[in-house]
Order: sequence, then structure tokens, then C-alpha cells
Amino acid sequence: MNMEKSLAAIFRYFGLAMAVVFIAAIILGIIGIHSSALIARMGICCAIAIPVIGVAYVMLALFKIGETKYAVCAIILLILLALTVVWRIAN
Amino acid sequence: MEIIAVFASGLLAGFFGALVGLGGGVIMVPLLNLVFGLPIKMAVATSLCAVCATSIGGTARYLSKSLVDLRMGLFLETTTIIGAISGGVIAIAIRPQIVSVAFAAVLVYTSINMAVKIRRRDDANTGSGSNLISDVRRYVALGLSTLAGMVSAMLGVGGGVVQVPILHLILRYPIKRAVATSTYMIGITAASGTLVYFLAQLRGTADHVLINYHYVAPLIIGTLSGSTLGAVVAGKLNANIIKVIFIIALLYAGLRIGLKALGIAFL
Repeated sequence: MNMEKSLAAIFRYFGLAMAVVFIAAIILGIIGIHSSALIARMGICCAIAIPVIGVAYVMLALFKIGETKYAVCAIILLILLALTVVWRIAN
Repeated sequence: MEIIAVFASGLLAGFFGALVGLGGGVIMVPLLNLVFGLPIKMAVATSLCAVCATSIGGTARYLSKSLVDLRMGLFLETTTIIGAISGGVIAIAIRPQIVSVAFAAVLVYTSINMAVKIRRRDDANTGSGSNLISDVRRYVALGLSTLAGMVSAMLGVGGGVVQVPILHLILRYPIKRAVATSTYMIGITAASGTLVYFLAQLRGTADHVLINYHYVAPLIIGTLSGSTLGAVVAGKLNANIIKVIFIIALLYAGLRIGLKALGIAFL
């Protein structure tokens, strides 16, 4: 399976898992169970993690097929994302 | 009933967000703010979570159609983030109104430029892989991408409004490929933005609640469904129709930013 198809599968299945978590949060919210906010937080974690997992996967796949230039771009991007988050929280 | 209304808003925003590669924040923020009465900061933070979902749903579909250029997406996103970091620093020294008016003028000019070139041949199945683009165009796109990141950070506008014209006009990508690649890129940017809001809220450093947990679940379910639908429709639509929708969205975003900077109320 090529890189695009594998990444599409990652986005699709992780996306489905995220949808299930959010549907659970809605149902718990309608019933009136307090933990719905906690479940929603778990869903937000999924929403944040999926694009980052995507970049990490593409980085590994590019290294594997020998496209080092773009793989290095992915590493720099991951480092910059981490730095941006740290810097913005600190300020 | 409120949950259904939020879901419908997400569906609409996700559909148009994935259809034209803008993410949907341009629709969601006014809706959450004006219709559902959320404070503007909360509307921005909540819509940013949903933009991640728009990107996830749309990209999954576009990737299976081989429309996303992952290499160029990563390449441009790197400099966009560098631009965003430097933009945050420069924003302290420059008056935001000046940047807003200049950026609005660029958006309006770009939309007119795209409208003039609308009849240019644009076949999604031909050309514009990462290896086929000339080095000059690649470096111009890289430079503009840094500027785009800078302006995005200074004005708080999404990246799609700048990335799609860069990919389409500078790198000569067919509009469907430009939209698909932009949809992938905005997810990365939105994820970092959401993480900042989310951590600030968890650590209690934010003045008040930023992400509304009551609205975020139906909104994300809506955007996820809408973006998948939008990507399916984009694959079937004529490229010129997508261009026209994008030009209208670009013109709207330009007018909104420009008039807001001049103190004139605009939806």
C-alpha cells in the first residue's frame, strides 16, 4: 500500500474513533451525566493528535523510500510545532 | 434542539471548508458568535477544534483520490510556521490596522486575478507533482508562504485563504489539487493552535473557558460529516465552479478584514 493510501486509512479510522468518542460525549450530555465534558476532552485530544500522527507517519514513510529532503522538512515541522506551542503557552 | 442546530452549522462549515480548502472557520466563527451567542474568543477556540476535524475528514477523502501533494504540503507548512512565529514578534511593533488593510487589498487583488484567469485550462489529473515545479516558483512559493504565516499570526486569519492562491497561482497546481493540499495543511496549523488553547484551559491559565465542551462535540461531528461530503462533491464538481466559490469566499474574507480594520461593521 502506498503512502497516500496508508495515510488516508490513518485519517479515516482515527477520525471514526474520534467521532465515536464525541457521539458518546453527546449521549452522556443528553442523559445528564457529568463526565460528558471529560469524554469531550478526550475527543479534542484525538482531534489534535491525528494531524500530528499524520506528519510523523509521512516523515517515517519518506525516510523509508529515501526522500530525505522532505523527511527532514517533516522533522523540522514537528520540532517547530512543539516550539510554537511551548512559546505561546509561556507568553 | 440546540445540539441539532450546532450540528447543522458544523455540517455547513465543514462542507464549504473542505470544498474550497479554507477550513470553515470563516463560517463557524460568525455563526457561533452571532447565532449561538458565544464570546468571540470562545467562538475562535471552539471553531479551531472543528477545523482539525474538517481537515481530517476532507484529507482522508482527498488522499484516497491521490489529490494531496504531501511533500509540497510539508515543505510549505514548515516556512508557514516559521512565518507565524516571527509574525507574533513583529505584531508588537506594527499597527495591526495597517497590516489588515494591506492584506485585505492583497486578498481582493488575488480574487480578481483568479477571476480573470478562470478560463485557464485546469485539469486535476495532469501535472504539478512536487518534482515538476521549477525551482524559481518553488522558492517564490516558499517566501510567500513565510509571509502568509506572518500575516496569519498577526491578523488571526486561517492559512487556507493564502495557501490555496499560492498553490494555484504560483505553483500552477490545478484548483482541486490546491484545495486538497491546503485542506491537509490547515489541519496541522489548527492542531497546534487548538493545543495551545486546550493546554491553557486545562492548566487554568486562561482568564475564562475557551473551548466550549457543550458545543464542541456536535460541531465536530457536523464538520467531520460535512467535510467528507464536501470532498466527495469537490471530486465530482467542475474545477471552474470550485474556483468561483473560492473567489467569492476570498472576496468576502478580504472585505471583512479590510472593513473591520476601517471600523465598518461587516458580517
